[in-house]
Amino acid sequence: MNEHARRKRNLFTPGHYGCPGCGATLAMRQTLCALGEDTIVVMPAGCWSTLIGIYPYTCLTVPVVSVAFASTAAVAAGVKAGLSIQGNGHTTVLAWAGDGGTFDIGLQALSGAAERNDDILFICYDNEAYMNTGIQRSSATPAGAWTTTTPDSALKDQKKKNIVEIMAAHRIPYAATVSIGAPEDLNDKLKKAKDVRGSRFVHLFAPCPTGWGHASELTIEVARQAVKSRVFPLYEVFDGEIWQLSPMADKIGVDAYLKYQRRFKKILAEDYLHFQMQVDEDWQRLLNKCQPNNSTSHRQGVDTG
Amino acid sequence: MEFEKKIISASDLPIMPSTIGTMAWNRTGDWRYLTPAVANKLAPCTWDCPAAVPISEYLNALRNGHVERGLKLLLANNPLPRLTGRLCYHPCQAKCVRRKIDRAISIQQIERFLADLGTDVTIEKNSKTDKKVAVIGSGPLGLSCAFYLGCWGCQVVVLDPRDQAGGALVDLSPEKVDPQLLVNEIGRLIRLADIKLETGVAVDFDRPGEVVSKADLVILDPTGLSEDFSVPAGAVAFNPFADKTVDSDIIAAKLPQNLKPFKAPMIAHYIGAGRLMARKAFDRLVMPSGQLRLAAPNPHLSRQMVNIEDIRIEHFLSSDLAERAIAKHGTWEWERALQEAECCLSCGTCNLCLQCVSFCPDASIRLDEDETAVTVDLDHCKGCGICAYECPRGVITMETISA
Amino acid sequence: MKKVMMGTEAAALGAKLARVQVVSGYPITPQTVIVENLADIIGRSELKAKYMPVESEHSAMASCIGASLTGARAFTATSSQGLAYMHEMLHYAAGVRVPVVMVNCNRALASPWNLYCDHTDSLAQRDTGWGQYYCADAQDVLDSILIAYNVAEQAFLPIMINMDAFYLTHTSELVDVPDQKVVDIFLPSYQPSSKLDVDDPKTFGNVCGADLFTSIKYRRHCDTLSLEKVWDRAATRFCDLFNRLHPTVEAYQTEDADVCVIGIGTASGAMRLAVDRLREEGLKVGSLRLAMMRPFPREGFEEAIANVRHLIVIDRDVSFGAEGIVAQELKAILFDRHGDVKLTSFIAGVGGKDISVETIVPMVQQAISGAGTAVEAGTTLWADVLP
Repeated sequence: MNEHARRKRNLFTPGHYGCPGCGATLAMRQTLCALGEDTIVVMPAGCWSTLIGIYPYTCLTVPVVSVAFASTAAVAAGVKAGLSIQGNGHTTVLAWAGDGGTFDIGLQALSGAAERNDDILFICYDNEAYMNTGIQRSSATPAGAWTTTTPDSALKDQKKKNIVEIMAAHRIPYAATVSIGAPEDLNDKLKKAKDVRGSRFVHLFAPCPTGWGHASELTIEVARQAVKSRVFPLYEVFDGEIWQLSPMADKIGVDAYLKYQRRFKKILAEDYLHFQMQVDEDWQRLLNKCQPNNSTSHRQGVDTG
Repeated sequence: MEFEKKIISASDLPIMPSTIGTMAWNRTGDWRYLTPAVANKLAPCTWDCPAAVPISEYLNALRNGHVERGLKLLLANNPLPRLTGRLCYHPCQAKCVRRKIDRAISIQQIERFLADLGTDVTIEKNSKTDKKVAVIGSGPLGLSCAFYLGCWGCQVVVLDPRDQAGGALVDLSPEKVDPQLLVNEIGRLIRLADIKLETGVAVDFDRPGEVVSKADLVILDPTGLSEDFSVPAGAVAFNPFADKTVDSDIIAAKLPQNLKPFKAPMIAHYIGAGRLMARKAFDRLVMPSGQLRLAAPNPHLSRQMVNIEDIRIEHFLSSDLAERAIAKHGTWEWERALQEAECCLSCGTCNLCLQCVSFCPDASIRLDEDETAVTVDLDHCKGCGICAYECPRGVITMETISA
Repeated sequence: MKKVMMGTEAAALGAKLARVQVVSGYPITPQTVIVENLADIIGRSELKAKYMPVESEHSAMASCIGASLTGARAFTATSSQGLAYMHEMLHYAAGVRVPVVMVNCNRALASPWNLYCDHTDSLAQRDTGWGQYYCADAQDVLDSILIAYNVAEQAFLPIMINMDAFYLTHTSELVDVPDQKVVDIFLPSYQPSSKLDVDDPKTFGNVCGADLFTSIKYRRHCDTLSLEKVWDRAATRFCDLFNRLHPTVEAYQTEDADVCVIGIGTASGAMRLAVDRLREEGLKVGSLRLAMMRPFPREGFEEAIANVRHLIVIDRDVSFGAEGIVAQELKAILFDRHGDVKLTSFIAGVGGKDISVETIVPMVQQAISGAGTAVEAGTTLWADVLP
């Protein structure tokens, strides 16, 4: 492909099989917009691996490899190793996995890659369940949310696994949370992440109208309310040590977030004060980590050397 | 965009299981129940403007630096902006949605600023035909009527018995309207529409004179005249707001009670009435031939008003709103006017903020090649409704569209 | 240049001479020496490659696949449990057609634990579509890695080079290490048919409908079958340059044999000695080592046993509930001749139990006479079972 054609092409084209209003597809679109065409995507089984298109067609015009569920970070590390031994140090290797492929079955490979500080950008697009197989719970599912394996008779007890804390414990140079409801913040952070060398982890909040039970036009709105209610706050972690909040609108109560989603119907009716309390506690924990006196120096940016 | 699915035979398959094309052939548009309709609607300010000036549109033009385009838009809908910018009671500002955030946009100040710029513009006009019209009375109604007929291709002569044109406007105090300004503004109107003005001409209908007798249509604007003015013989009273068709070659404007006697703050009403009158008069003039078309057809006049519920105030509250200095009267400078124009929420009027484009999960609403509008890709749009929901100014609505 | 070295050292040298570019290493007995040596070779810049100390064998194969898809030559090594762990990735690698070469050290699978020689681990992977080659000695290990890359990169299929745990991995032999310059002539750099390339973006391996899937699998099956011929040609070329043979089957005195003992791996050495002993006693016996198991080297095999009437297969493995896997494979090949060829199947040497002249001779005698200590179970005779 020549330079002219490359410059003209859209990296994300229509005709894919995503549900109407799918947060994950918008997430990819926003991501590729930030990272650009010099990107190779490694994605495991999940919503994206089936919605991308039917062989031999695809809706993305960057190179993509669709891999086995547990292997995302390992394949991505291999891709990066192959590129760099051939002299290519500039192409971004994007590992793009859902919450199942990150929090659960993909965690070992992710931990391995992070420990080696493999030079990959791992983005988890989190729709908080195994959506592609029909809405089953994962360790990213919040407590109290309905899924097919945590029905109303057996709602999930366990809190959502804190993946960013896990990644921070690996002391990787950069970790962050982003949301499709805060596109400028997402764009800024991904552009920043692109230039960092070493393992980078981004936790991307992507609502799912099908699995969460909200109207398809409310996908962005739900994402926004998640940030405002601090169910999904925006922040960055540098070298696993320095935690920095991103600018967010003033905090509001969780009912503004819960009310749109059928998966929280029971919680909203019976137990939302408890839910609010959990959110408040987690928020306070995060605030404590972000206190200036918890770090030896306050950093605005990241060394990209 | 490729629509045809490529036919595959086993020998076409690459050795490695890699793709050969995009998914564009997959018409996901078939999934839709509702279709997004991208259509500018009237902002509340325009809806309530008696002259139906497309306010959000000319503010958009200003904010993008297209001053001439903004002035043309203004003049094409209000030929006396230097006057309305000083006299009008600005019902537009009472309806400005920006009130919900801080305070209304100072629309009148911007109108005055723009009108005072003195930039030479031309506006879209039809070429002159052989239709002749005499307008008697040069108050804002008569002038407006003459202006539109002139733009639409008639040869118009405005006659006024007084030495100065302007009708009752002449009698206003200099503090309200500077006399020279009045002369200049009327002069601009005459120039823009390419029509003639003859002052100091009293028309006697028994001995009409050349202009009146040669005219295909005579229009009287008796606004400034006394209450007991009687319509001359042969002339038919015509209420531009109520009457549908002009049935006579001589008509006299008949205004509703609230517009009599002349009230300067209602100036926009008279301008609007003048256009309505001109429209119906024009119908009478060209009906037989039906060949002339309207210049500057003002498409906005047929639009619906935007649904106020669709203006997403939260979006504006959370985005960087321009810092606004304290409201100031008097004539403004350029920076101030621009700053104020930038604060306009552009209700119902697409200003290419591209929220819709950036939030579409299917990349199925796009900025056109010429970058003047956004268009929905009906072959792929799944009808999720995000674009309509996320449009902060109510331009996009979800509609049931039958095939 | 001749040197004394263990099989695992020979494997590491083979990878180095092949100029592999990405090595994924995870330790497992008895393969570990391979990845240890390669870590050092790469660390000392004797080989320009990326060494990835991965956290599991599944990730070892995953990262090799990733590297290979960018056009880099990738290598890893494993054994038993590790091989089983990466099972899904073996299917994946063959399916995505990457020419990865992996050394597997044949070791028994748990449970219970056993670290010693057993062929069940790799034979249980025979359906994954990898080429499978079984080495006879340390020289074979080094040379076959070079041939494997040559073959894999022509056919775009991954190949597994197998060597017996401890008999080969940890026994020292004399190995002739080829000259790098000559190896470079035999094995040029990898030219992928397609790769992950931002200038020519494609998606690899997304969901495929039933219609195309069948055609893809058919194509792959044909290409897998062709590996026998591709290997023969490559081995011939190798012989021209290095004067050593690495055929897909290695026959010993089968031309006039009525009976033939068959096996894979290092036990073939003992089988040849047993053939010599039995011939002294007047039996017209020969032996056959199957070097290639996938694809099954049908042509070479049928040629070798054209006149044989009785095959005695010694499996160092078992497919539980069925029989010895090599025996099963042979029966499939011989289906049309089942009327005139007899096949006796032995299970022996599993879990590292020795196969020696002393154990082979009685097996042959039992196969012929019907009397002996091997115990019947289904269609197999189990040697080495406690009374």
